[in-house]
Amino acid sequence: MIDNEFDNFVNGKLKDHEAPVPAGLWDKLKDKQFDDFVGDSLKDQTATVPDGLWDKIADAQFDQFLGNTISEYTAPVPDGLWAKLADANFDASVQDKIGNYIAPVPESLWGKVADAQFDAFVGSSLKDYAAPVPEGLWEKIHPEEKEERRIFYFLRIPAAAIFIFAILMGGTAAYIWLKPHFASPIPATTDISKEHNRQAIDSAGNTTITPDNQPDPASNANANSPHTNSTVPGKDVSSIPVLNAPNSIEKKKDILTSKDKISNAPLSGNQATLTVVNNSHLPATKKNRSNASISDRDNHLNGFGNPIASGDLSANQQSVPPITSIDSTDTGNNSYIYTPPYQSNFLAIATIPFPPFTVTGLKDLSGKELTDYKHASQIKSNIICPSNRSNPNTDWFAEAYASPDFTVKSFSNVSASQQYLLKKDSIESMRVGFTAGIRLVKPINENFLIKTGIQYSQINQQYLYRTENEIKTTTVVTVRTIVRAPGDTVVIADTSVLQQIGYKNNIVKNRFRSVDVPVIIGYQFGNEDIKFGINAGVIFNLSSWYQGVILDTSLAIVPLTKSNSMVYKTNIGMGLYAGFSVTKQLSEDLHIFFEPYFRYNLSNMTSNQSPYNQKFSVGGLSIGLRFNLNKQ
Amino acid sequence: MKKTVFIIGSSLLLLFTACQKEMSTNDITIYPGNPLNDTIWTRTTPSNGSVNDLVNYFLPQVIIDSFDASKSDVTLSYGDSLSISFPAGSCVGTSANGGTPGVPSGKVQLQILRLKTKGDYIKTFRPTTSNGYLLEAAGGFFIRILSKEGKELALAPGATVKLSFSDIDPVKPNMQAFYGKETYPLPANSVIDTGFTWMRDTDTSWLSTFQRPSTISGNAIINGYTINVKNLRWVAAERYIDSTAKKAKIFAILPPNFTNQNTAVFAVFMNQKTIVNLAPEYSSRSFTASNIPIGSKIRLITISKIGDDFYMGTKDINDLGTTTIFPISPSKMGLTDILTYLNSL
Repeated sequence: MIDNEFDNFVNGKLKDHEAPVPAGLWDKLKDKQFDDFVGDSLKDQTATVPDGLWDKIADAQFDQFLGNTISEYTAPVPDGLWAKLADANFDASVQDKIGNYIAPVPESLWGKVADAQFDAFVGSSLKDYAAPVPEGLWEKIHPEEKEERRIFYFLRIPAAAIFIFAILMGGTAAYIWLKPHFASPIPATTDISKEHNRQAIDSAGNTTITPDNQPDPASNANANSPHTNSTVPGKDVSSIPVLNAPNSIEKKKDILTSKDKISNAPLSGNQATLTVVNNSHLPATKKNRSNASISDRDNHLNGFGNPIASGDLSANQQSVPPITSIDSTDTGNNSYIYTPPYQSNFLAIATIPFPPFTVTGLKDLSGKELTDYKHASQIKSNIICPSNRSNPNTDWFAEAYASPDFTVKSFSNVSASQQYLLKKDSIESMRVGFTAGIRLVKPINENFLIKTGIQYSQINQQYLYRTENEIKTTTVVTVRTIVRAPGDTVVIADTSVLQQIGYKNNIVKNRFRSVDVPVIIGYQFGNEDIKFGINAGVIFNLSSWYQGVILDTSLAIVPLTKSNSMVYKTNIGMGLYAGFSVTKQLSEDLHIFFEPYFRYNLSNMTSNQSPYNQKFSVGGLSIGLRFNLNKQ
Repeated sequence: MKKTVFIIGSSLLLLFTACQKEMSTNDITIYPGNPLNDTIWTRTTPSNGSVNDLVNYFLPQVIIDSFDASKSDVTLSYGDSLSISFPAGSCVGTSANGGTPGVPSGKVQLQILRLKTKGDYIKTFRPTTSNGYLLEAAGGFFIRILSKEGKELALAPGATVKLSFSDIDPVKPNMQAFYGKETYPLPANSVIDTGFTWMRDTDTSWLSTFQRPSTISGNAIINGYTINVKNLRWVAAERYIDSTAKKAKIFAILPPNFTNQNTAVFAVFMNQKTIVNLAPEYSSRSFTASNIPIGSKIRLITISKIGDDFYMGTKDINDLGTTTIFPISPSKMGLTDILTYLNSL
């Protein structure tokens, strides 16, 4: 009878028969005997796992099983296995299992990590890392800017808008031209924000470095670590030789990924230098987890910290080598190495004396203070801090200025005769005046400032009129040759007076003087060296007085003094002011500025008794110095 | 640092250059052709020179009377200082004057202009000089007789007119009759006869004098001269001054505004009735007169008319010596003031 016939016979007779195993039988049966009995007959046999079997197996049982079974086993990684492992797979697996896991930093660990090591580590890990800015973040950071922009609603007034627009065009052109000077801090703001967030988390005591867009892992602190629940029976990966695997952050995540793959891969040892910590915690279903990103440091710390804490790898403490330099031949990973500019000659990872990941070693690091402030102090010189726009500038400035003024006269008739108007128009002409004053400048914030002070203005007007039959007397010396007698000639130099008659063009300078208080709001922009500003405001007249001559109704020229001025007001009221300034920094506390401006007086300077209405508008170029009153 | 200095310096420069200087207010534009601005001397005094206008303003008072020259002798008295007697038929018309020769019928007009004071000589521009020689005058007259037709008459040949006049000064014993020599033809009216000179009568005998009580003013004694006038028009009782004294040529220099066109200059002797006209000298732009005795006490008087304005200047020379050039600075004066001054000389 061939075996096959016998099997069929037995199967038919005993298919549903169950014979109880005598008590103690299994104990008497040695594994060797069972293995010898089974032999190779089941080597290639595949049996389906009964439903619910996996659920009945606790992770601890699986871990213990694997720990006891394959703790000493070393299997070589098959050729090409690492290459087949995609980072995304690894990341997805790790993110799924340990994304929210936080492992405490062992006491004294940070103290053993030198700042330079940390810098090199972070630099090499995050050199090319960019985190997207969450939507709405900037709006939350710059709420005041929106408020400031509302001020420009006055531009909807057509006249003001045209004027300001013309000024803005020039200013914008200059701004664009100068943009490279002050645009550089803008991208730095994004980087620093990321850096800032990360450091904040560090300083909070967390041992993970979490990207800005990651949820705080502390909220899911290792309550139900997947490491402790996932077991893979029959998978002994306690000793996985990996080329330089744990020496770099990148390799650490590779390690974890490879372990995941190893679960179904043949184990053959040919790179056995690393006895990896307990990898058996990885669940069998992790391959299908999402590809959510996770920071490298997460991988690093979570990949080593938790299994060690479980105390399963006491026998493997010495198998974790110190982090060593990345192999120069490992060109595939060189792009991750970042050497900070302030440590250009520093071999970053090569000198990190990373201790073996043992329970004892990690405990040595506990209680050590994270010296992130030292780190920050080293790199702050390389960081251009973003301006804090919510913090108003508290500086005070004083301005002293003077300006040549060019005056435009506005004139309208009330009751004067045509002859009077013609003569007045022919004999009057405006001349250059001047304004000088001092102002106190208070910056409201980085761009807006308010100015006020006191200024003296003098508008000059030339009165040119002709007077007839004017006698000009000139002292002359007349030389005469007089012959008193033949042979008696004398030359006489006589000093006398020559009179000439003619008409004279009389030039009288009328002076219209005033003392005013300007109240000006300015908006300035630019860089520290050159700033451009748009200023607008009102000018309140305190007092006005006049000297010179005036044409009376009989067309005669009569003098006009402060005491007898019946024609002009002693207070001309309020005027509007607009100007565009260019400020150049001369020193830390001294600026020079040039400000072309225009002043429009709202009311007439003539009184009701005057036969005409008249007012002046003034344009000028203020040149002055701005002093910082907060000078130390 | 240089950049800062440059910026500040440029700013200050801009500020200061903005202060544009106003043009001077003392300059005048002279009127072209205005007499005051005319400082040009001419070689001869032009007839339209404003100095000629002075004749019309300085015209002395003229005695106008009438008498019948064809009948009997006529004696006309004017107060107790002047009387003139015309013999019958002494006045005749002459064809040279455009009249009818012969004794005119009816009344004729008598015009007498008396040169009583130094100022009268100046106002009539009749200095007491005879061909450059100085005269001392006792009195002078301009006597003119006009026919009823208005034609100027002359004295008949051989006829004389007896002219008795008193003098304000003491009578000098050696006065002689002098007649005025005018430029022929006479200059137009209102033009100074710059060629006028006194010519001594051929009868060089001394004039007779008289001394009588005044018929008007009580016990006053009137001293005077009697001239037998042989020629009408300008006649005077004068004498040559001492010819033995050393003489000098004096010069009056005036400011440029005063030229020969608008100015006349006289030298008035303070102690005698001698008036010398300083003639304009083109070459030296001055006014000059010769034969002025050294040691004379004289006064230089300038009278100018520039435009509508009158100017007068004086210069007293108490003792003419070696200094013979005298600058004078006339000043503007009113006509009345000038006449008053001249009358007071």
